[in-house]
Amino acid sequence: MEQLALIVPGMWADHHVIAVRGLFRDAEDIQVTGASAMDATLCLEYDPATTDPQKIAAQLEQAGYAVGEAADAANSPTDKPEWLTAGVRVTATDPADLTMSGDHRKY
Amino acid sequence: MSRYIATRAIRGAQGMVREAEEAVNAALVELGPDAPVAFTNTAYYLPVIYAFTGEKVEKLGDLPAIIERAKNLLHPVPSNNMWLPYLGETLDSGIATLFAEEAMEGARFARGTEPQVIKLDHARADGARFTGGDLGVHGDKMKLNGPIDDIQLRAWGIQLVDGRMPGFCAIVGCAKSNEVAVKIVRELQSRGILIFLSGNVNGRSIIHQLQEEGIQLGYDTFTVPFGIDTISAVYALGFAARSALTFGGMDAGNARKIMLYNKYRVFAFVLALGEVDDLKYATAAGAISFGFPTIADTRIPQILPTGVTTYEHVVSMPFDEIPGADDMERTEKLIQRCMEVRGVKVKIAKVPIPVSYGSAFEGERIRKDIMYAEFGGKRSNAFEFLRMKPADEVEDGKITVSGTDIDGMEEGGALPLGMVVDVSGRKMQTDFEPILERQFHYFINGVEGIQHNGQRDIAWTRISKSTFGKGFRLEHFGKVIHARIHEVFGNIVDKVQVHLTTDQAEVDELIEVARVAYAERNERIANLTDESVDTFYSCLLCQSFAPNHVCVINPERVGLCGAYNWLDCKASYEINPTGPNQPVAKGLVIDAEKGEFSGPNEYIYQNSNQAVERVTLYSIMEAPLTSCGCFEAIMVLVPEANGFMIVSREDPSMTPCGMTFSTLAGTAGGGMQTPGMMGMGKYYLTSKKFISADGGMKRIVWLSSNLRESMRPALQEVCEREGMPDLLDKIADETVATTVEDLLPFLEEKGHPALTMDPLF
Repeated sequence: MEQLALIVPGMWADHHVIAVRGLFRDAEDIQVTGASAMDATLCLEYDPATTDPQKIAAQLEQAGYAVGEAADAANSPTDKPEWLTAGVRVTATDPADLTMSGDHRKY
Repeated sequence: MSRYIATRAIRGAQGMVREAEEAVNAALVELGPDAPVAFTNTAYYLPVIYAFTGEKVEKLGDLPAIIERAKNLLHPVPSNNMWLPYLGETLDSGIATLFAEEAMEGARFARGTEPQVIKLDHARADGARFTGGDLGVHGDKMKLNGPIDDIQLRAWGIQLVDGRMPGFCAIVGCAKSNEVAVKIVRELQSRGILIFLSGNVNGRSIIHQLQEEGIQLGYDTFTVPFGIDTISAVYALGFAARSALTFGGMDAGNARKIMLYNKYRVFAFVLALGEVDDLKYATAAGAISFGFPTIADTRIPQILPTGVTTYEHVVSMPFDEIPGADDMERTEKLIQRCMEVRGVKVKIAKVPIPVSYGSAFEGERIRKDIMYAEFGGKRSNAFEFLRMKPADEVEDGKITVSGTDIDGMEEGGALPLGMVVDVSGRKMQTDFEPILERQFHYFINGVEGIQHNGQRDIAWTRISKSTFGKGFRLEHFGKVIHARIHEVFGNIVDKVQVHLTTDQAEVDELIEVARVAYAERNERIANLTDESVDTFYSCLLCQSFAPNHVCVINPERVGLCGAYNWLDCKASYEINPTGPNQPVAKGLVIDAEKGEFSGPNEYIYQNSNQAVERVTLYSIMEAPLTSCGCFEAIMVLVPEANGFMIVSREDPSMTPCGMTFSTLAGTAGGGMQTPGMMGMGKYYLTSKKFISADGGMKRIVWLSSNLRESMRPALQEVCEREGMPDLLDKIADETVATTVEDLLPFLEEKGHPALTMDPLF
């Protein structure tokens, strides 16, 4: 068996981990050895006689989990910036924040 | 404020809102906008959304507007070069996350994929995977609980207010090992903390770990598996939101008040086990908005200043770095730290026995296949008897056992058991004997691996193999009783001695002595009437949740939670003179028929924050008692039938007034006084003073069938006392009428007396 580590940005929360692990649950030639939603990393072992990294990546992509690069925790994601159109961007901190009262928030 | 946490939480919120929108849109295409969206048996719709916005989500078509609200709460991820406090943005994102998670769960319910059914990779071969409530294990699959229903929320009400259940812990993720997972749960259970389970790490959840170890999950053991993803953790916040609506009388849509209510009254916290991903940060931000801190067993940034939470917001305790001899000791310190961070005040019963002890074990079921031995039940007789004795006849701490002990029994065996408890104390009274004795059920059930049912001469106790294996023997029952009586009734009891016997001849001899005492007590209680006393008692226990609620408990009326009667309150006052049960002088009789007295009027006005000016004890139509949230049943006027209907807390069915119990309870609860509608303890039905000013039992036109059947002998006595032996069968239930249109023909056919009684108004 060969080892493989992939970055799967779509696996950013634990329900995605379940989904990704589920993809390979019944595969005889692929064994998931680790799936981390914290750093979007998928580690697996595969049988090179029957599959390869490209096929695995294609299988992931078909399920909506394309292999890619991890988002840096410090970088702003730019793929779906709903906040740009929502018209509520806050650029100044309300002083009430400092008291952490929560009163300024709007529900 | 940690920029890292803000970034993770805001990014997680953005992702969750995006995914919820996709899920809702897909469900709309597939099922249509009118597809119903409803959590299990709740009157609070999608509770977080309802509590914060007042929006009643009932169908898929209602969800897009919620998604838009969530979007409007999103903020940009902090930039690299502009460092701000971020707190408000992060908290907003947390709430957006909760909205999105609840919308996602709503869509799942519409599709029928919630509650989750999970596959157990390591299913136990012995089938010893016990569950409570609706949980079910079938082969290698297990149906999880999903959200807690309103019935259970209210059933836990009295435990929440009297301190037996000091708070709840939402565990998200997976523990270091199965052993640690069990220890975490045991530590929390021994403190009476309600435990909600969700989330996973690397596909593995603490739910899997506990299942593999055969730990009982479900309502009965305070350990509720929501789901194996973090999205299901929103059910914990839904529980908190409903606490404010149910017990606090808060109005839906008043987000600020609801959050403050939770901060100051609901002692909850999040325990994140294992790695913390973006969604876990985002959900934790939502929890922090409620005032609930997060403690992680991994290395993450901390937020230590106080503010939105009472103490720290986020605390990191990397598990392997916790000082301790082994993982068990490290777990103890982790849980202790959780208590400190949330400021949970826990009353731990110190009982010298070889197994854990706590109210979370009260609901354990010991089935035959895990039972080592039993006393009472079908195979033997058993009784419990407490009596007051002169001080010189009681030796404190003396525990004697005669006959065969548990280790002399064969596995699966049964023996008779007599337990005679002698107590003495300067303030002890004969009236208190049955009150103390009745507590044996709770005292003994608090032992891990013991199931106790019944009382007096119908007691039935089972001991699990595991508890026997840890060294539990008969003398430990005595130690439990001794320790708990001193702890709970220390003000009235000075000395306690316990004698246990499994010798059949001795049991048969002592049981007759006990039966004489039981008969005397029955007679004494039967003669206790409102007229025979000059003092009633208050119960303000529920004011911790419903600040304007005041129970006035008279001899002929049990508290509406069903847990406190007049004698209980009297004893409680003797035990704790400044406690929640205070004497209320009857004062002048204002209206004897309706039960209006000057004393209760003055008391209730002063203690309801001047919200309630007067109260009548025998009428529901004029100034009835206020209702908190943990009442056993609710009585409601049915004007068309000139009578009342009574719905029990356990009855989820529709009623003739067009509302289920949950909806009705939401209307009357929270400390409100609502003429024509009133919470009640179910045994109030058997009182001679039961709405005597309004016509008593003859006014009952509809009664939940489970209430009628479970109380049939006692209710039959009432009917005979009222001169109508066949009255019970003239009362409708949910099997014959769930609308007024069905109800009226039934009453007419049966000739129900309410139809010909004087008009109620």
